[in-house]
Amino acid sequence: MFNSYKLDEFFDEMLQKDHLPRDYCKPFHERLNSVDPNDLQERYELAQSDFLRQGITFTVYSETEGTERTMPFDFVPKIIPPDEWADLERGLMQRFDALNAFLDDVYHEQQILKDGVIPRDLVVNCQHFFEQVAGIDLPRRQHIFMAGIDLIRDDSGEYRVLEDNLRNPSGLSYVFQNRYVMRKVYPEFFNQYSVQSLEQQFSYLHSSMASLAPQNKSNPTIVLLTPGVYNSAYYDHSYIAQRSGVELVEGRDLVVREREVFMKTARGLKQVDVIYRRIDDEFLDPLEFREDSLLGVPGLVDAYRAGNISIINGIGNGVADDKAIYHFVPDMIRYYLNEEPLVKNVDTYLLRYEDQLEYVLDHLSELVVKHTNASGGYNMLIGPHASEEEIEAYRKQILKNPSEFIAQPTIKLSRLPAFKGDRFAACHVDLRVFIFGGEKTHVFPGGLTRVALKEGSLVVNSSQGGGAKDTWVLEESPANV
Amino acid sequence: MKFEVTQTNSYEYERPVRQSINQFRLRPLHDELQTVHEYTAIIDPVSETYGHTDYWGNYVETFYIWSEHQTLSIETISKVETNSIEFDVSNPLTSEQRQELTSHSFKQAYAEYLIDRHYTTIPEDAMKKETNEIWAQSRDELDFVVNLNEHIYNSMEYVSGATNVMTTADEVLEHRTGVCQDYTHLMLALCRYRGIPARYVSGYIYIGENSAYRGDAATHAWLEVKLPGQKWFGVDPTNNAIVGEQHIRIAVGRDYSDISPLKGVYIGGAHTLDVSVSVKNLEERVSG
Repeated sequence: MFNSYKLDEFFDEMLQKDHLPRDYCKPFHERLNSVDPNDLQERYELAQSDFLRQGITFTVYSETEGTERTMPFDFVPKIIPPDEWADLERGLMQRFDALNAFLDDVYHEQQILKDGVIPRDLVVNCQHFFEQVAGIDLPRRQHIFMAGIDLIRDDSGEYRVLEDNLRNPSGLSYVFQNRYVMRKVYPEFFNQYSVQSLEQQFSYLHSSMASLAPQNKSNPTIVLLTPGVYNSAYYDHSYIAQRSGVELVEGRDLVVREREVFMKTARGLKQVDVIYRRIDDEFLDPLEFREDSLLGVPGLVDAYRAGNISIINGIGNGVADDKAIYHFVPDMIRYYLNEEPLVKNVDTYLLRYEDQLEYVLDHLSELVVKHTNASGGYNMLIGPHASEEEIEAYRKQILKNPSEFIAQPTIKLSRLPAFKGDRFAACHVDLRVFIFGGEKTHVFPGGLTRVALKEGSLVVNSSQGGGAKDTWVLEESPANV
Repeated sequence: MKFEVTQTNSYEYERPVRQSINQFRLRPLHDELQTVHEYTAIIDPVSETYGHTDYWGNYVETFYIWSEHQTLSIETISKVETNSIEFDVSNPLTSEQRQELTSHSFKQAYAEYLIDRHYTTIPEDAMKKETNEIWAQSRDELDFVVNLNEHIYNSMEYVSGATNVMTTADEVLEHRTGVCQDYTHLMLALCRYRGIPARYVSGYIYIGENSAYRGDAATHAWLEVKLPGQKWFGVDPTNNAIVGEQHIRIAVGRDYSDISPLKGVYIGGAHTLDVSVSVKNLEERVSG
């Protein structure tokens, strides 16, 4: 099964350059080599149908219309040994705390801007900067309740942050489903490994939400506000609400009266304390944001301003996960925490600077260029994989407004084996780690490993043909061998 | 000068409405240019208002009416004293001032007031064409602002009803008609295009008996520009005027969307809104 497996110039997370498995992967690798391929195929199909049966789908937006799909699951997990995880955890908590401090600062004193650490115009003119919420003191000064930080590993195996998602990161439900299916369909694969369990995570999630209630209220009423069943992440919303024991509501179920938020119930109005909202800022409150929004709740921002409701993630977080601001996160860590960043960024060119623009335009065929306002792999140029015409068309786009673009070197994303019926192929992966803020910062053990199942492809986004893997954080290194 | 300004906003609804939430910016600014001695807002049906100061420094009030109602009125009464400002536009800017205007730190400090916004976006070619001559003939940026003010006054036709609150600067430039809001958006765009920070001002204008000033029933809009080492400086392109004691400022922002005087959301049908304003000069001798 591994005969045709190629390492090429990439970092392989399972195999070393000599094709021998890394120590902590040995037991798993041996199992893959000893298992009957027909049995694997059978179980593979079982796993896929399990996702379908449970209705775990997501919607792919295209120019025509949305279509629902399941995210393909590959059973070779990403395995993270304990020391590697401990380092990551420290680095991610550091980053999370700095990003949160940044948000609190730019919506209050703007000290980091006054000190010239970050160009002021990048922040105050960012389309995700909502001056409507400036000056509002949030419970625990916590703007980030849940962050989804996307990590990759470069050709030396070093972890780097690719993107911070501080608005509505989705995918948490897949992490649980991946583990569930993995345990059900491949139970013996866990032998010899002590993998950190996910059982406790929903109670952490719930206590994190509760700890962010206004005025430290005990037993707060918490709801999850969804745009509704047509949203691409609706499955995620309903799953999280159900498992963490909070009410799933839509905008029309809530009402604001004299600066307090209420939920309509069969027994009348019930006051709400915490809203975990999965509706974008612009749509939250037609009084203060988009007037045409039918998803939101009029008056919500006024209740937030009055300190009567906690809205998580905070309104206006997008200014901290903006693709151009990303470039400055290491500076934020130094500025607010007086520490050196533990997990590095990917090198980024800001095309607003003339010299960087010039360099990028000269090296388009080697770089990845992204529009700062697009997400999820849409509207980006992957230089090495693009045709001459595509590059030229993109060049024209850049020149129209260079400051809206950033560029990064093409990262040689690390790879892991993925099952291809009669063999394993090395496919590129990344990892979204979820971090919760509240009484204390908590890193969810593992996360969502996404895999570019199309061989050679670097795009792991589920909307573009990516799949998922289970992610194992080991309690201790595997015994035997 | 001392004024008493009364503004009455009356909503009438086709049929009873409920769960109404409203926000208004009607309290005049209290700062070095003017002093607010008294201010009251009366809401009918009676409602409590909740106030806060927004990012731009304006006072915003929010109120809620839960039960059914078919009319709503918001009346504000303000006693305001405007200070006379001596501003000599014939004084040239110093070379230091002009240098600072183009400096990175100045552009950063006033970044919000230098960008295109929905209301103020005009194709670059058109802005260039419109301002080239004036720019070339002006002594400095201050002189440019004064000349541009005059140019807009002369090249526009004041027509009520030709535009609406949604009209953008590029439409104004094309049709060259409009009201104070349109004059202001156009001039904001052109000042920013030339690197001069500029902000929208909403307010009242006192139109005395013999005044040639025009304004839409006394609610008015103009703009302020920021030059290094100077306070925000007001110009009124609708009247080809330098802003003085007869202008009473309510709110400032990047464009109309930041200063929107009244807005609301409710459950129910259509409405009509009637706004009336009276500006009384408290220093004027009453004869007879």
